[in-house]
Amino acid sequence: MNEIDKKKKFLEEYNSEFSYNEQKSNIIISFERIAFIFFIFFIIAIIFSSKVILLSIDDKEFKNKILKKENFRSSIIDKKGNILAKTVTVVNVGINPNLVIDKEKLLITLKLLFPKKNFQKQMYGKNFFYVKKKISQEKLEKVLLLGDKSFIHEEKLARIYPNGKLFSHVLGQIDDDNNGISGLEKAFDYELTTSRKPLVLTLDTEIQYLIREELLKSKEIFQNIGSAAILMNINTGDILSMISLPDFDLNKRENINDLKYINRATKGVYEFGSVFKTFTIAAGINYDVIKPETEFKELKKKIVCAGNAISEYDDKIPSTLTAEDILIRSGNIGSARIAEKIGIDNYHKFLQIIGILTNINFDIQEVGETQMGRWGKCKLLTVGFGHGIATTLLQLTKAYSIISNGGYDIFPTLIKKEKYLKSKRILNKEVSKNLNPILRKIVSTDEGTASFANVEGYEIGGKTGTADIASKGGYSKKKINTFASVFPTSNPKFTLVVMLDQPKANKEFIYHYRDGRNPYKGNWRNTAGWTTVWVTGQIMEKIGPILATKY
Amino acid sequence: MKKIFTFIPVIFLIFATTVTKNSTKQLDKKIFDLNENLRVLQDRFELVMLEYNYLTSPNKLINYQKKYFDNELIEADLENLNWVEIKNKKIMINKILSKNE
Repeated sequence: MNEIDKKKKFLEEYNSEFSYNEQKSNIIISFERIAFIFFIFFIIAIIFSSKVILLSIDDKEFKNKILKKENFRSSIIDKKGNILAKTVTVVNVGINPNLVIDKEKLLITLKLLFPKKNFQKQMYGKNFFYVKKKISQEKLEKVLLLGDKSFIHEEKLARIYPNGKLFSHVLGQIDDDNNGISGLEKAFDYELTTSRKPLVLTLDTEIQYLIREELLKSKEIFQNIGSAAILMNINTGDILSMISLPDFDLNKRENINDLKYINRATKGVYEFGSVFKTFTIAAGINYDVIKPETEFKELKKKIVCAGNAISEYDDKIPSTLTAEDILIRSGNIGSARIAEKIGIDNYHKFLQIIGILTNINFDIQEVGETQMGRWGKCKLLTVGFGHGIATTLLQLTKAYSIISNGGYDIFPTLIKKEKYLKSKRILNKEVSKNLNPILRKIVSTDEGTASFANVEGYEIGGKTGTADIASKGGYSKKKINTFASVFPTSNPKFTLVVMLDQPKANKEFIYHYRDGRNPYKGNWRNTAGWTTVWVTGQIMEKIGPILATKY
Repeated sequence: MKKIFTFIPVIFLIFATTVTKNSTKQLDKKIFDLNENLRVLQDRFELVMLEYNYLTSPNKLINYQKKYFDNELIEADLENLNWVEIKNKKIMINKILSKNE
């Protein structure tokens, strides 16, 4: 077979292998695939279309909300109806120099209207500039009477805080778009921008002012870097005053990023020291482990746990003490022994019940969380006298209120309520019955550490706490001095907790004793009893008459 | 006759509805006007209150005291003040604060 014949034969063979049926089968499969893909796309198109329709329906409400937010923000008032924050409409007047016909003439007119301002540079260098922001009605009328088309006036919302710094940490700030960015302005942003009703608080402006003034004075005397105080109704949880210093002027609308402006009443987490001894005694009574008269014999002056020494602050403290004496004299070893008797499980449970170890649900979002390591034998001993555990002043106030109000649970609040539900008893009633007289003795007796707060007539009881501030690998010499008080102890109505952050002993300051002793100068002791208790006494002198006559 | 008895109540009802609607429209307008006036007055009241709160804020009052009544205002001793209560037609006098605990 020659070469041509071979090619011919191959072509013939190739032609004979062609099959029309196979081709037809392929076309059917492709069509199904296309139909399937088309179906998928169809479903996706339906989903997207319905979403677009839904969004367009929702969009109306959303737009309404935005419009409302742009034009409106409710007032915030205190419990007596005093305005703490109010939104007013202000007018800003600007000029577009491109629309000015005679710039020289306008500059002369502006000089007559605003003699202190010079607009020369702006008139020749910018496309727009403000002549006056928040212009008065009188000036606005004068500007409008000029009839110049280059003037542009726009209405803006301005939030006014008539008390300036007084409620800065509680109220918080808003941004330029009418959004709350801190404090109640943030937490109640939706309510304030949708409801016409004012937000009514439990705070009392007069009491807030008086407490703040005393805290400011304390800064002059003890040179503390900050301070905080909370005054709360012991039965309802209504907060009458909440102050954290340093504070800031809300009307200036500054950007507050510096850590020194932290809300020390709710956000700052501190080791408060001996104020925790009250919890130790209370837990002992609650679980029937001790009674106030339970005696602890041969208490050592120093014990060692896991290589760390626990010692008494005052070496003169007797070695045999009752549980009551341990609290009055603020004994560390005695408190550690009681904690040991209570046990980890019961102590942990007790701290949870009184709100120290549980996260607090509060009206503002700037809230700290209790910090402590893992429970262990040594941890139990140290927590027993208030070390190795850090919490917030707000939680401390809540815990003292529960212990002194008969053991009823309370929820601290800044928002005034129409009705108060009956609280649930969470502690044995014997706790308050036994502890309130002991707290009173801490203030009223010579053995106690808080005699400077013994303002006559108000039956103040409380516990002091002097704690070293933790630093890397141990403790520094800087202090947190706290005094947690309740009054009147025969029928408690209020809890007042005051804290000074890093105070210093003032040797030049003259202390006037309340029991008639000669004044004392030259104090070197940087303890709560010589700093915070003195401040609390001054606060009580000022706010006591208001509380006694109006509450 | 039957048709007339049906027709008259229908006409009467249409007429009554028109009159009622017209009068409610007038009332609606009045309510709207009153609400608008109230809103304006409320705004004005709040502004006056704002001014009042500012001028009588504790800070201002303390400043006024220092400026105008430096030594004239004296602190009242609460131990000398009493509560007066009337219970069952009897006058009860109670101490606000007691020295003895």
